[in-house]
Amino acid sequence: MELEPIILSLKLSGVTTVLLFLICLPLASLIISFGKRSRAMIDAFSFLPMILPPTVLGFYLLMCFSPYNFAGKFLQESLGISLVFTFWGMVIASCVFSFPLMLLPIKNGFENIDQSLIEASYTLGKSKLQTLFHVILPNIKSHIALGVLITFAHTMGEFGAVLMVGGNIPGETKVLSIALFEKVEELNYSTAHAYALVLVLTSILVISVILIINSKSKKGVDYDLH
Amino acid sequence: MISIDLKKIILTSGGKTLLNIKADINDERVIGVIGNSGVGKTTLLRMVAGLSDPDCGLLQVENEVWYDGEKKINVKTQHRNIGFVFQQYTVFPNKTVYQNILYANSSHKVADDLLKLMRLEKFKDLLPNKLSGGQKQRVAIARALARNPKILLMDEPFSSLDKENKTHMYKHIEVIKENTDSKIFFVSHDIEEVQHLSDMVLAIEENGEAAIYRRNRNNEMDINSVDLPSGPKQPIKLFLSMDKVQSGFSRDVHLN
Repeated sequence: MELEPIILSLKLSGVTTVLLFLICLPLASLIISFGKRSRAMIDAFSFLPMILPPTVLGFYLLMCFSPYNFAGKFLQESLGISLVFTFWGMVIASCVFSFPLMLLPIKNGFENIDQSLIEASYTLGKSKLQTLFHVILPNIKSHIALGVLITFAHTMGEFGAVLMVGGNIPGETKVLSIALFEKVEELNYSTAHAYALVLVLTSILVISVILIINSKSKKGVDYDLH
Repeated sequence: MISIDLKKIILTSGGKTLLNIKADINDERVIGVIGNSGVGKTTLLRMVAGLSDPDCGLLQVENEVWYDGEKKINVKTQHRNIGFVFQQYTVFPNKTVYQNILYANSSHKVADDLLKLMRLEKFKDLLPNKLSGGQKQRVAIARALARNPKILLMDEPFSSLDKENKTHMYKHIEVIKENTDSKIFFVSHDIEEVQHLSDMVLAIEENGEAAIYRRNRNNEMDINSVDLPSGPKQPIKLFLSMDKVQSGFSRDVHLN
């Protein structure tokens, strides 16, 4: 069994998770300030990558990044960047595909936080930014953790979109799920089992951590009135 | 001195009502706000805090104008020197008792003094989920006092407390009165509580207007001093319907 696909998958999942976290956190805090209709439209739009087949999504991203099309041509000619069959192409594909998995839990956290906690912070003279860091984020950390863990686990096992955009280049784009598929095609079931086991263990680990966080969060947010 | 002249259209069970509160608060320290459910008691507190915008009017605290509808002045909540105690305590669940107070004022001396004032020393390092309702309420009050607010606003602060805890909290109000310069507004449904604690009562009627009662020189709540914002004197239902009027209150004048 080669370690390279495992390391590459961990790297892809880590980079995707960090990027999506940095995008979705401010985005979620912005979205909740919109009106109901705008929020419903954003919700519907953000669900799109979950509904579209990953191969369709990957295909359109491949077309988009192609140097024969506008975006790909612009990136290549102006910035010297080529995304097709590269690690960073896969990162973008993973970000698009996992976008709702990070955004929705964080947005739920912002929507469900007790508004009086935020108002209490304002009455203590704290700015919106201070309130965000000292009150909102610590009290939605279980939502944030959920988004981070699901995004990470999902990207670890992502296949269709990354195969379309990244191909199967050893050391560059051959991630764990693609290596597993390749071993099955080669009828090398023992190595395929080993790769599959890594993905199964990752999923079990993530679910366990989510369960622990949920139980701790329920104990922590206990608004006992008496 | 606090000068309130605030108007806001609110939605009540009877439809839209103009909440029209006009009151000058001079030397009075504890102001009880009373009225039936949904008449706008909480809205009044929220308008003073800047958490809800009035439709028009004026709010002046000492020499500072916090709201002026005509001049489009509306000082942000963060810049109004207030403390607000919410009905459900609203203690930050991620912070210990001490951290809750320090969040409002980073001075450890102030936090220590407030812990002592509100008898919270032994709960200092506990998270709110380990506290009883009365203890959480004291944390919320201590935190609100940490900025030495000009106005302490309390929205039904005793409604969820049992009789024993209420008695303790009444004592705490007296302690706050003695130890701070804050003017205290508190919303209550309990007429006895309001009579017992208040120097002045704002009784918000169903029509959205507030009748004002002040204690007289003999420390009696004087119905003669009632100020009605407009129109002929009308029965002040809340006051006249009191079953248990304490001996210190005059009720020999019958309006209407």
